[in-house]
Amino acid sequence: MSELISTLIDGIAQGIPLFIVASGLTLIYGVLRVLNFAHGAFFMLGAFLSATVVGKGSPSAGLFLLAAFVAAAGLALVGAVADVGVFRRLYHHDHMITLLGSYALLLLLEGAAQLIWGNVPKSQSQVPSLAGSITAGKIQVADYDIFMIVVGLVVGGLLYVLLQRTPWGKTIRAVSSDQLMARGLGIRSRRVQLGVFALGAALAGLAGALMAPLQSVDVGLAPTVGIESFAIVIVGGLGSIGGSLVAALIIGIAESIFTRYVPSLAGFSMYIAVALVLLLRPQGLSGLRLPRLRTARSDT
Amino acid sequence: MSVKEFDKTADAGPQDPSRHLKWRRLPSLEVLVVVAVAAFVVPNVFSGATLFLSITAVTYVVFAMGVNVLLGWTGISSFGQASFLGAGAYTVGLLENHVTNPLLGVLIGTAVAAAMAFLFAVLSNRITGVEFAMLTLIFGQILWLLTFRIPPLGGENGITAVPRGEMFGNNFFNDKYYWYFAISVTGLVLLGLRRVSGSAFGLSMRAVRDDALRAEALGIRVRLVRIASFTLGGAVCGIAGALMAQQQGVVTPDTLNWTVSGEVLVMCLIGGMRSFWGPVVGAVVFTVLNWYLFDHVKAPNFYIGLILLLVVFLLPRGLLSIRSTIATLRGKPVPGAEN
Repeated sequence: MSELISTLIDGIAQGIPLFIVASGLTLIYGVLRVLNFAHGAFFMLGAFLSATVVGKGSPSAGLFLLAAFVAAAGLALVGAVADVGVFRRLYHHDHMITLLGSYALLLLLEGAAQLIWGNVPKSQSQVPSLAGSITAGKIQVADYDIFMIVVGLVVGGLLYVLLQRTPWGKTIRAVSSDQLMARGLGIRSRRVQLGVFALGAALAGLAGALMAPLQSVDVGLAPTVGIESFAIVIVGGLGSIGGSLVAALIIGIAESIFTRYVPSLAGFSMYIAVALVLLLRPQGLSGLRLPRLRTARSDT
Repeated sequence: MSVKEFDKTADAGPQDPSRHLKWRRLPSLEVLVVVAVAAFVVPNVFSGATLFLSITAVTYVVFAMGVNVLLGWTGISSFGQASFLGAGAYTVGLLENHVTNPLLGVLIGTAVAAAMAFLFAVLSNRITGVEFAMLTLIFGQILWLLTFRIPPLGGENGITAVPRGEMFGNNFFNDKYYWYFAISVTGLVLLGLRRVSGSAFGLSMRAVRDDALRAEALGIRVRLVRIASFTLGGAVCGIAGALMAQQQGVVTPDTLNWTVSGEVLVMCLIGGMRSFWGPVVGAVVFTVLNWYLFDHVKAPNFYIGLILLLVVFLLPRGLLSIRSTIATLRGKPVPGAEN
């Protein structure tokens, strides 16, 4: 029983970074109607930036947070440039061309990372005060897992407030539900799109920084994380942030349980979830009674 | 295609045949001439590494043609076509010492890929658009993971020492003989696809691509057309996979990597997915470019991404659309440039 509880907590902590990446992807989809292939590359760049700021040796908590901030801010900039330089030019083409444009961007960013950081994987040390674990009775939980869950709560809460309680959030929701009408009402949809793209990329960068201490940072992260976040967005329903939260948690927990109890299925949980959802409920989990936190209509 | 563009093609009316050269109206002949010239010229000009590269290029030509049946003809975006390439390749790999006739190997590989594509298309029948693209991607990833987990497939090392076999007493181990085999198969594929493209089935695929709702209203059975097109595309990808396995002599999980599915879309796009020859041009250009870049630069992906972005910006309808793009810029559209 205690083992099951620690497995569950571990799964939730695994799901959080997936949620943060996927929420960026789903936000961008909601407003721009673009499935951004380069999203995994944003994550990868975030991890590289963070590892570069932290450098060798074990960082203080302040340095770690600074690195995460640099990653998020840097990626906001990259996202803004990508929107202006690539996606804005492709709005009037059909979605296949846009998809290929984002694939080109993925290759470009992967190549750029290779040119800047080389082919040798980088690693980032854990903050010493987060490296331990807490034991309560027989339940053992890593400190970093708890930190991750707290970060997830904060990010989710901030996104909720931003989208539901601020004027800017209202314009985002307006543009994603009907761009033409929003423009007719005087909303500068281009600016909203630019902002959302930067925000989405920043979320990916932040997730990259959070994951940097847990895995080796190399170019291979871009496609892997890209596909994982696609899977979550599909399971959660395109454009639904609440849906991606639930999907990310389900997949994180399933993966953690499989790894512990059914190792032969480890690595598959995500694909199983997607296959089931698409075959049984193509619109994803959204539309079920989930937290009302969505940016796109489900009928598109 | 938007309504505006649809009306534009409709307004063009019957095309004036005198504007085209006569042989353009004999599409099968066109294919035969191109393939025959390539078959004759390549082994006399290239040898060694470049001849091997030429064989790689024609297998990619077949692969890109298979993908374009979906992408360009029927308007289905799939990010998992590497699965069917892999199905063809692994089938030939598993058959390695039981089937010595390379043509038989290719046929069996094709059948397996076609069956898989048919099953997949039937099961995912209700799903279209971006969701379908994602489902194909996921399907591809599952198969890719399975290649590591199913023991007979050899895990990371894959299946090695796949023989090329022999026909008419010629050992295909010699690249020159294998070239003739590969180009013949490619020629047959191109001829067959040329026929399909001009047939009623080909026209209904385009109707589904342009406007599925109108096609349905005209009595075209859209779902059936989608399934048939997906199966045909999968089968052609299977042929490419079988050729690839015989040519390379090894089959590894890399064949099923999703980047392969991405690359082939890039090929179709570079050449132009709306024209018959687009994927052929795209596959040859991409293969040569890739080969050159991997030898000469540190991060080839950077340059491939850059070139792809330029193509997307400047010639979104592909290299083959360069004539009509320039003509449109000068205000004199070429009739029948879009098919």
